[in-house]
Amino acid sequence: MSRRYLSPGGGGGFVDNREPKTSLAQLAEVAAPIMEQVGGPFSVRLAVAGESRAIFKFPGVPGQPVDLPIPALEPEKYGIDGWLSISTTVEFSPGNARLVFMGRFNAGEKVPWTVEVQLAKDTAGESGEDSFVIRGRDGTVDATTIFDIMQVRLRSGDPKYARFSDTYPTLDVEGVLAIITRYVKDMAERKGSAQSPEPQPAAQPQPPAPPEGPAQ
Amino acid sequence: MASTVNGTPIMEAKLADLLEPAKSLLKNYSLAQLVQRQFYTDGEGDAFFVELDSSVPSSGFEILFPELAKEDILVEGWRHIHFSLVLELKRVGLVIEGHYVKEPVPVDVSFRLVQGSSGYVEDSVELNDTRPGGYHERLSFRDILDAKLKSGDPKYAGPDDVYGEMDLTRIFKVFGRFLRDWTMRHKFIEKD
Repeated sequence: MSRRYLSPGGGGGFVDNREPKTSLAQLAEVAAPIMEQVGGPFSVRLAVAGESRAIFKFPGVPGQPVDLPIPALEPEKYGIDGWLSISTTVEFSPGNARLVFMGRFNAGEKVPWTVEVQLAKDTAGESGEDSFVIRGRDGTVDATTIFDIMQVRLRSGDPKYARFSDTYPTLDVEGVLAIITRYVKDMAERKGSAQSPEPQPAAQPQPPAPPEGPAQ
Repeated sequence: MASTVNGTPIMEAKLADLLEPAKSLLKNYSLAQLVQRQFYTDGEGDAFFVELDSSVPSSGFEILFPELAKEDILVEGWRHIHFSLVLELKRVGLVIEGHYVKEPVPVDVSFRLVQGSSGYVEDSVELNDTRPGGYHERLSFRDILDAKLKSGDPKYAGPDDVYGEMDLTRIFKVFGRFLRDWTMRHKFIEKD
């Protein structure tokens, strides 16, 4: 159940729990009229360097109020998970929304890992771009895709990194960030604090099995 | 977008006139600060930025910014310029930053004028000639308005310009006049 916090004047306000989440594909659709009024592609950067803020970049001044259901990210939460800094940008172009994530993760080594993810969706939920790269201190690279990570399952058949409700065509920004965080945390645990990430093959999809437990 | 205040175009309004509209806009969207920045360059890359101090309001947001023609802002000499209006519940700031060149003088420029409920609460102008050994100066907009010719007439201000009572267009004009003169006066770098 979402709650709306009204301003003292009774207008505007925030919703603390946006349900249902707006998928990247839906965002691509919602952004179309905004692109029309500002004269082209635009972007929004969220939660930069530990502070909660949103920065829009438009080619021109919007002629009307900007109404875009961008998720509310909680930078503090990501700090607890081990992120030193994250930058999440959603770039809008006609028919497309592209998520660009860049982060520095404390894996217990002298030098943090750098993590870069790009995921683009069109209005139909099709992906034109999907890459997930982790770089260790000596330049070692682990490269995979969000799609492959979503196929990874536990022995029980449950998704290892995705939520039960996540489907690849309808991924939302918060969902992608959650998948990224779970994967990077798990990788850090697997490698141990004394080792840097070594090159390894991309996460291999495993045959899906019907979920057994309750949706998370 | 609100580009007028009570029917007056924002560029013809005083900073003080923006206090109430800014307050009401921020309250409507539960924001403490809204930064609106127009960036112009003499090349490619013009952009308009909106920075929210928290998450994006679920009901969307509107802005309070003047309709600016690029040629009015990027007057001769500016290589690039940021023109910002910083809205807060009790303050409105006008910030101009950029790089200005009048051969042979290249200057980094920073201008900041913040209106509070009882007048300007911040007033700073900083100019930095970027040539090696170039002159660096800090002053205020009040200093610029107070500058006089030998005759006693204001050097940069017009007869009707009063500190704290000028609209944005006049502030721009007076500052532009000062900037041109500053580059002329610092054409030559003195060597010890």
